[in-house]
Amino acid sequence: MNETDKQLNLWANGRLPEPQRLAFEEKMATDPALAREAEFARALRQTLQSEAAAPPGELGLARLQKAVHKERRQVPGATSRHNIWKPVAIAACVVIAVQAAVLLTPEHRQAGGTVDLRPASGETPPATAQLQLVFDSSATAANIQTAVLSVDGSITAGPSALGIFRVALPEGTSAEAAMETLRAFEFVDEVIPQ
Amino acid sequence: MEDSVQDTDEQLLRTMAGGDTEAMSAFYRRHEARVYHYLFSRLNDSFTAADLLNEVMLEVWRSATRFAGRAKVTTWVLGIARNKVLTHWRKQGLREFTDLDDSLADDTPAADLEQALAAVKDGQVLRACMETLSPLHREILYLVFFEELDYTEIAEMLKIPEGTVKSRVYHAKNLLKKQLARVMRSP
Repeated sequence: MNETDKQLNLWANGRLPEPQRLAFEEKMATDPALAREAEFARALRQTLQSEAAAPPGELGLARLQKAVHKERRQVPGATSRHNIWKPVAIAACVVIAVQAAVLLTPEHRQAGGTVDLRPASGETPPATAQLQLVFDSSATAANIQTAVLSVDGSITAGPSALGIFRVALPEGTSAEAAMETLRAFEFVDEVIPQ
Repeated sequence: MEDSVQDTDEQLLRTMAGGDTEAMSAFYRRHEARVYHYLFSRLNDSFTAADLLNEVMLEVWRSATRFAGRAKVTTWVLGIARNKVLTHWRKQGLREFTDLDDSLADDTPAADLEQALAAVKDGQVLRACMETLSPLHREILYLVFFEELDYTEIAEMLKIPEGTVKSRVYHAKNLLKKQLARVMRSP
């Protein structure tokens, strides 16, 4: 009984697939009671649809837009949900952690490690040219080491939350030449003079 | 966001997830009437329905990134609307949401179909008779005959088996017929 009722309601809504609709209409033709039930279902649908209350329209949309703008103001930085620096920052943090683990071991120091690392705090910044570097998210610790050594630089700070490293150049080094050298690496995204 | 009218609901949601408010406007215009009518059918109060419509659309905006595509967008949005109604009722403490036993047989005599058929064509009478039904019966008739959802979609939205949808629609319609026939008989 419920199955017939379902067919009847779907027929009234015009949602019965064609072969089933034809079969159902044939059945109705020979069953007046079923036909009257179908007519009731169709009338119910028509009256419900015609009695629909008017929605708020553009006023409702304006209200929604106001709510969204208010919410955005309350959440700084929520204007764009795509922060391209986030994955870069995460990758750079991982890279520097691996680098630190490898290069700061006693064994490496005894072996005469060549990278000149300085703590990011607690030391007076050198009065030499400095550059800010951003590496590609796929850059490895070896890539970063290669880039820094190519200009005889020293990492003095970083990576920041945005994945930015600060590199100090030796006295007398041309910042422009160093920038050109660094930009030649595929894994270096940005080189910014300070 | 120039072609939002042609975009599918899923595309609009993806664009909204990127923070595009024009996509949100397009989505609102497309679904406003459907959601509002559903809310109004359950609340019978245009002001509360408009308030909850705003809450539903705000929730869609916030949750656009979480739409998993397991259900149709329409079903998903109406599901959010349904939860907003239930939360509203709980906050008001006015009406308690109770489940129906859809397996119970209706032993009362069947309604006079001709009387019911005559009455159902009158919008005012139909509205009054719908009001006498339980919220769950009113809701299911609305989902079938106004939203024109199929039984699978309704089952998904209400989180009940499709068999329960079938029997609930059947009982709701019979109860409505009885109310309609009663109105026709009354002087």
